Amino acid sequence: MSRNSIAILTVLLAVFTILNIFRPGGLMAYLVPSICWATLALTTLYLTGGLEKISSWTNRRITLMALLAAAFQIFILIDAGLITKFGKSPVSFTPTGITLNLMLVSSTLLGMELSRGYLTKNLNRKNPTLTLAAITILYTSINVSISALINFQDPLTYTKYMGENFLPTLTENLLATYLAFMSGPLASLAYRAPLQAFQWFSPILPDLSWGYKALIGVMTPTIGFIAINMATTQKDLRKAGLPTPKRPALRPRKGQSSVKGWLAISVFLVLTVWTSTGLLGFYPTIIASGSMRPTMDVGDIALVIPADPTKIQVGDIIQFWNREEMILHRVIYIGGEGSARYFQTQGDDNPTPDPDPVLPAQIRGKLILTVPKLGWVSIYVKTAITTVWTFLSTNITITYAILTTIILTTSIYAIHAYKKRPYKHWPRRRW
Amino acid sequence: MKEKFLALLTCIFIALSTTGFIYAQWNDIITVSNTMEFGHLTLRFVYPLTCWDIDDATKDVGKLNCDYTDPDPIEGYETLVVTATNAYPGYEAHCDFTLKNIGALTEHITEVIIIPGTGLEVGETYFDTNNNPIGWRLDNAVTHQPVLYVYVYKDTDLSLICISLDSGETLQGKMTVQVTDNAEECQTYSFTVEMNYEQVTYP
Repeated sequence: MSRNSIAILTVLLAVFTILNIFRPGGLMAYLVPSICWATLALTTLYLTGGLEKISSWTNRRITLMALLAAAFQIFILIDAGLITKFGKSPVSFTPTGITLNLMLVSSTLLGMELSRGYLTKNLNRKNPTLTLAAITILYTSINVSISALINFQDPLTYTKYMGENFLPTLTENLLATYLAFMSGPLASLAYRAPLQAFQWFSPILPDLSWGYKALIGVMTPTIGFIAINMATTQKDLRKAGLPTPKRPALRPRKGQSSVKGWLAISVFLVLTVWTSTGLLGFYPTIIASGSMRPTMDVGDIALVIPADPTKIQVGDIIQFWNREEMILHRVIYIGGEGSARYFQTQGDDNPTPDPDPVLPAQIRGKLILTVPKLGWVSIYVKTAITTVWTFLSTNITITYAILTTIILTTSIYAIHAYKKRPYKHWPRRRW
Repeated sequence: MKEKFLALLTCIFIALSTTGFIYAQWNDIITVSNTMEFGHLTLRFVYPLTCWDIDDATKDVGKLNCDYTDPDPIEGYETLVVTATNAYPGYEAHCDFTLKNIGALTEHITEVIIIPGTGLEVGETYFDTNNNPIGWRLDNAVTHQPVLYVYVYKDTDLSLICISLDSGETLQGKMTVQVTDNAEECQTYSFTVEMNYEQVTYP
């Protein structure tokens, strides 16, 4: 181990110790960790030889794939949140809050990833597997609570902790370390920074049960790891400092087209999300009841655009919030004037008007178009998910068995994929 | 084969994205609950927890049980469960609980959530001088008659809301439970208490 590696490891362990012993309050809770991690980042930069050296490690293709892996994980998290629910982020969004969080998150990320990159590239190059494992464990232990790991309470709490915290952190660190190994700290930053940014700067976050957290936290980085491993080319291996045979042992990979495919999917998904959330100016809504028959039937998709309440007329179909439910009914009467204006609504198939008048503040928009039957897919999926979820939540033993099987299978698959990595033919060779 | 498998996975993923978002729009699943775990921001109930009642010596039958549930692997508990057994009109009990910021950053309480047990529903809410909720009336879910008054506070007239806790800091909270005169004799009432919290960034 070189003197530089020892120095970086020492600073890293010092930061870990300081942050675990001293827990300052107020502003110091942000300043002390920021200074500690920034010191580690600067030390690493100094000992590495500056940004030029780090840039020389970077493989743009792998860094881009790391970014896509992060985007994939965020999309999966959002999807899971929609199946369960979202909650308001507990993070402060005042200008001071954003600034302090930005300082804390960026310094922590820089300190961690620069040191991870250096250590991965310089520690025990004879045995990359051992290096990856050791660095993954080191950075996992920095990120999780060791006391929770040691203090065994009851099996359920322990299982929850393992599923919710430890295993996702371990898997995320495994992928980050692999990326740092292949493409230096910029790749691991490209993977971890979007995930951290999502957690710290998104005003709403998916409020997931521990089962979902365990599944997503373990499976998505594993999928990312497998995908990146599959897309690794001989050129990437040479760039990472690994020797390549004169005659390629593996068939050439279609790395470039894979990246284009990912990009296309990402763009499509972004557009889908924008459409669904109304960012493109209209809201799609699935009709889940038959109250508007024959105008709209169950399974139709209604497109609603924001509408000025003063311009809504009798006969228009409006979408409005009623307690915690969104309703799409026809306006049959408009009463009041100005701020006291209200709307009486009724479903076309309902015998009586809705009991409560609709106030302008409740209105989301006006119907412009109905697409028949397209929403049935969603209704079937939702029904299937609800059925499965009800079954799993009432049969906890089966749930545990399934979760354990999935996690084990994923782990075995990941190990299998790792064993099939392109550079396995030179495990003991001195580089 | 591999391409087909990836294409299928992609299709499922896209379908889920689309259906999830659209269905969320319809069902208003997006609730602002603010109770999710967050590594650096975690507020938990911790011991000591003490309960006592002011029982009429001639009756001396009512009993208030308080305990924590949903343990956090790191420290503390997420929920305080309160059960008043053999309660009668006029019965009054008290509970002193402790909250601890087990996260790394300063946070403050934004909401005290009272979740009524079986047969109860939240009726009216009462506010302190700063207009923060301090008391809740729990009604019989069938008759809608008031049966319990629950007050959660720091001091007599000060709500827990907006009180900041630094990392590792604890806060002593108090709770008073009163059975109303309309309540039936010898009933068992239960409810749980949870806290919402968020980051504080001013010094």
